[in-house]
This record gives sequence, C-alpha cells and structure tokens, in this order.
Amino acid sequence: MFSSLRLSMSWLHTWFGLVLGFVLMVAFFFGSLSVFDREIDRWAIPQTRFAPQPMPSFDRMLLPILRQVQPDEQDYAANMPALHDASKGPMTPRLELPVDEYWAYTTHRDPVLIMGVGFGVPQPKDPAAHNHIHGNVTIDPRTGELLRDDQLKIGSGFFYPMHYSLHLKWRDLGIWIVGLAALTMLAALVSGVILHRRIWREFFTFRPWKRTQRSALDLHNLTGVVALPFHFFFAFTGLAIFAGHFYLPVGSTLLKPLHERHEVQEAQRTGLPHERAGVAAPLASVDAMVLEAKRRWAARDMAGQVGFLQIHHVGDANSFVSIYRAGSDRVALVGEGIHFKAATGAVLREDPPRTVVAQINEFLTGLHLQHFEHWLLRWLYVLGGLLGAVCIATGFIFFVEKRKQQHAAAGGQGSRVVDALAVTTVTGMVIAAVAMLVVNRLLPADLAGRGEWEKAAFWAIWVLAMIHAFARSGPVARSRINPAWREQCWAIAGLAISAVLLNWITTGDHLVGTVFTDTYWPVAGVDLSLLASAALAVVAARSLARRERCAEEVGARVQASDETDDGLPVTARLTHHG
Amino acid sequence: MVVGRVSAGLLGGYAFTWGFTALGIAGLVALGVDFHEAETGVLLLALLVFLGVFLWAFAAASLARVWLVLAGGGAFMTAAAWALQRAIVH
Repeated sequence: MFSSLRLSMSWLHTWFGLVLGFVLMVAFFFGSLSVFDREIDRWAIPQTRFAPQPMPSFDRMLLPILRQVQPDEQDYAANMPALHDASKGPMTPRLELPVDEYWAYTTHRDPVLIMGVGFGVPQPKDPAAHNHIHGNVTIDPRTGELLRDDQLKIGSGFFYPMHYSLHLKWRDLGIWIVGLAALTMLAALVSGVILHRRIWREFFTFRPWKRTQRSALDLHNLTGVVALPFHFFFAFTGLAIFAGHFYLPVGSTLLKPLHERHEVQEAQRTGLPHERAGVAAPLASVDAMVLEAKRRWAARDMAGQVGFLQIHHVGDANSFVSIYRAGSDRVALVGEGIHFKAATGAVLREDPPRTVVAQINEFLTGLHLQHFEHWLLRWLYVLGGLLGAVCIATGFIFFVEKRKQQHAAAGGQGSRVVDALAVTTVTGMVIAAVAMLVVNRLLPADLAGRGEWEKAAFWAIWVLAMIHAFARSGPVARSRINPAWREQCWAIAGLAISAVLLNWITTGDHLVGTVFTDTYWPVAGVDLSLLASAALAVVAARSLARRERCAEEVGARVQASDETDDGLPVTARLTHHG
Repeated sequence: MVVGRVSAGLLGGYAFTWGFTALGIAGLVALGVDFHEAETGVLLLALLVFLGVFLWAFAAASLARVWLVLAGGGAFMTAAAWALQRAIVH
C-alpha cells in the first residue's frame, strides 16, 4: 500500500494523530490540571481550605466513623449482581453486607482525609476474586466531621478521572480509548522523528511571521521535539500504570491458575493470611501499631508519616493491619509496609527492600503519579503537559491549513469539520473547565446534588462551545479563519476573570490575602493560573483578529483584481499568496 | 487496504503482545522468578513490543506476512504459555 517507509509513517502520523489527537488533547490538558488536583479541590470546596493534616488517631476518630459507613448504593446496584452467585440464593441486602476491609489514605497535599470500607459479598461467583462493594467517605481530620458527599472534588474527582477515562465508565471504554491514544502518541513520536530527519535544525526553527501553515508546523515540531522525552515517558508510563489490570490482564485470565498458586505461596511465605479464618476476633489498638511502625521507620532513618493504612479481613482471627509510609520524600508511591496481627498488635512482617524490577516499575509509575513533594518539578509537569497540548493543537492547525485551500477550491468540507472539532477540543475544552469553576461558585452552597449540577454544566457548556464552533465555521470553507477561535478566546478570558472575582465575592478570599496577608497557595495558585489564562487568551484573541483582518484584505484584493483581470477563481490566486 | 493495515496493527499487534506477555511471564515463572516480578517486567517490555509491531504493520511490504507473524505468533505464544502453565501448576 505504501511505497516507502516515509509514506507509511506519514500516513500513520497524519491520520492516527488526527483521529486520536482529540482524545490526546483531553488527556494532556486534564493531565496538566491533575498535577494540581488537590489544590483545585480546595478552590472548589471552600470549607476545606486549611493546611494538610497528618493521619489522625485511628482508634478514637477513624474507627467510630468507619463503623457507620454504609455500602454505596450505586456501587451495589452496578456490581452486586455481577459478583453474586444467583444459584446460591438471593442477593444479600445492601445494608446487611459484612465488613471485610477498612482503609484510610492521605498525602502531604491533603487537608481532608479519604477513607472507606470494603464490604464482602457472602456468596460470590468467584471466591478467589476481589469481591468488594465499597463505601467511601471524606472527613475533616481536625474534627472528624463528614464532608457532604454530593460536593464534587472538581480536581481529584472530575478533572483527574477525565484525564485517564474520559468519564466513559461502560466496560472501561474510556480507559481503553485513552490507552489507544497513548499508543498513538508513542507511534506519532516515532513516526514524527522518522518524518523529520533534520530534527536538530527544527529544534531552533520557529518563524511566527511566516504564514500560518508554516509557523504552525514549526511550533508543532518545536514543541514535539523539545519535550520529546517528556511526551514519550508520560504516554509510556500511563500505559504501564493500567497495563496489568486493564490492557493486558494476563494474570487474572489466561495465567490465573499460576497467579493463584503464587498468592497461596506468598501468603505462606509472608505469614499474611490470604483468606478469612471464619473465627471472630477483636481489634487491638491500631494507634499502638502506628507508633511501632513509625519507630521502625525512624530506626531506618526515614520520614515517618503514615500515607496508607489498611485492615484486611476485619473482625476475623486472620485479620491483619498494613501500615505504609507516605511517599513525599521519594518518587515511588506508598511503601515500606509494616504488617501487624490485628487481634494482638504483634508485628507479622516488615516488607523487605524492593527488588530491582519493582524499583524500576515504581520509579516509572511514581514519576507519572507524582506523590512526592517537589513544587518546581510539579510546575515543570504542567509546562510539559501544556507543551504536549500545543503540539497536538498545532498538528490540527497544520492539517487544516495544508488542505483548506484545496478543499475550498473543490467545495470539500473536510478541513471545515476538522477545524470546528479543533476549536471544540482546544478553546471549547478550556471554556468548559473554567465555566465549571464559575458554576461551582454560582450554585447555592446548600443545593442538594451540587456535584451533579456542576458535571452537567461542564458537559452542556462543552456542547454549546461545539455548536458555536460548527455554526461559525463557514469561513473555513472559503479558506479563511473560523472566527470561533477568537470569540472563544474572549469567552475564556471573561470566564477566567469571573471565576477569580466570584471566588472573592463568595468566600472573601482575594489574591492580596491568599498571597500576602493570609497566605494560602492552593487557592492563590488557582486564581493566578486563571488570570494568566485570561491574559494569554486576550493576546491570542487580538492576534487572531489581526490575522483575520489580513486574510480579509488579501481576499478582497484578489476579488477586486479578479473582477478586472482574467477571471481566475479566487482560490487559485490565494494559493500564490504567501 | 488501509483498513487491513489498521486492523493488522491494532488487532494483530494486540494478539502478538498478549502472547508475548503470557509466554514471558509463564517462562520466567518456570525459571523460578517471582510471579509479580515477572509480570511487572514483562508488561513494561510488552508495551514496547506492541509499539514496535504496530509500526511494523504499517511499514512492512507484505500485509500477509504481517498477519502471519502477528496472529500466528500470538496464537503460538498463547498456546505455549498455557501448556507451560499446565506443566508448572500440575
């Protein structure tokens, strides 16, 4: 089909890049926002604007709360029928499910604490599987007060899952689509390098004064090459994080017998029971176990905050407590687990140093998930993610610019449609995200189901932006610029400034306060980023207006000379203009 | 033709990668490597293998050969992994 390697790579780069570029745009943009997901949460839920807290007392605060947690209705409705073996009788009612697991998790950026209960399924289809119906809560660890669960954590609960799943939960479709997009990103990087052999020269080439097609390609190459290792690394590690569970679940399908044999051997070797014993037993003081874990970490000269605490087989003689160290001082996630017998508090096992393969894997995935404490690197991640977004967006623009004159001459609509979709996924997506923050500040504080309204607003506004992009796309069919680009830039500027003002009006937190007098960087950072976005959007809108006027004038001149001249079609003339 | 290349790259590539992963893990476990250790290492390699065969599906001259190697190789490695597992577990 392709006569040369270059042609085959060019086809792959163009068409896979175009189709999955729209998904990549979402992954890169929301990935960049996810770097500061906890900070966006603080902005969106004002009563959680306080300093990060360590894990509170388990015995006195967490346990009484965990005992009140009920299985989530949605989780029960969605998963119970699939996990329960109907041949053994009717499903256990939701509120009668037995508790099997407790957990609590926090990081150095979390003022609030998330924790939850895994409820067992008494008659499972597959007894060896992880049969849990979950119930999760968020608390204020200073008082133990529950946070309303209809308050959406816009950063960690909406933007972050958007980054890797597009919120398409059906059969994990979104995760598969994003995975395909990540594979495409890797393939686009390799094929792009093959296409652009003069890679070193392109590194230093950006000619914004040239016509749009040329400068868009320059910027596409520049942003692609300058952050090539970053892009490759994130697409690769993103796939690696989900590979074992979603993309290549060999261990839970084809090689399940081998995996189960390993689990049983592992349980024997480590002394951490894989199954419940079926005999009831009490729970000793978990706070005492936490103290012992901290003492052991200190003995190994390591920072000793608890990041993750988990109690397996709750209430059973085989129950054990696993306490993991927070991963703020290194790249790998939680670790150095110490495991205690729940009934007595005796140490069962201390995790040995990780093996080389495990270290490599944790380093790779840890570098992607960045639970460590390093604010400069965090901002570099945002920069890298936005460079990726620029690379993809300029790819769209180059695609359109290269074809729109031919399409205009032939009466084709292809570039018009691609351009409108590009408007939707570039400016439209930013509008939807910023508008969600505006809506968050406008909705009454005590409105029931607040989070659902915010999500609905996000999708509705994105659809509106798409309708606007298509409705205004007519000029592209005449080889001009879609005015929707400029108009949506103004919308971003207006919305971003409104969000900052609304934050001030509704919470009293203004930038002078959050930066200088009563410093609170999470909120100040979001406000400042919104203002920077607004400034950038204004610059872009004004520059687009200039380009539109230029194109109008050139078009008008050509038309005027056409009328007096040889009658060549306008588009044939335009191709000769630079 | 384009459909043939795309499906060979995605479906054929996936089948090949699946077989590679399964055989890689089973093979390493047979050699005495810890299951999760083998799984973690092989999965990282498998992603690069997928990228390689995906690109090759577009670059190769003969589409028939691409299908033969990817689907045939995938099926062979999957079967071999299954047989190896039987030998280990029983």
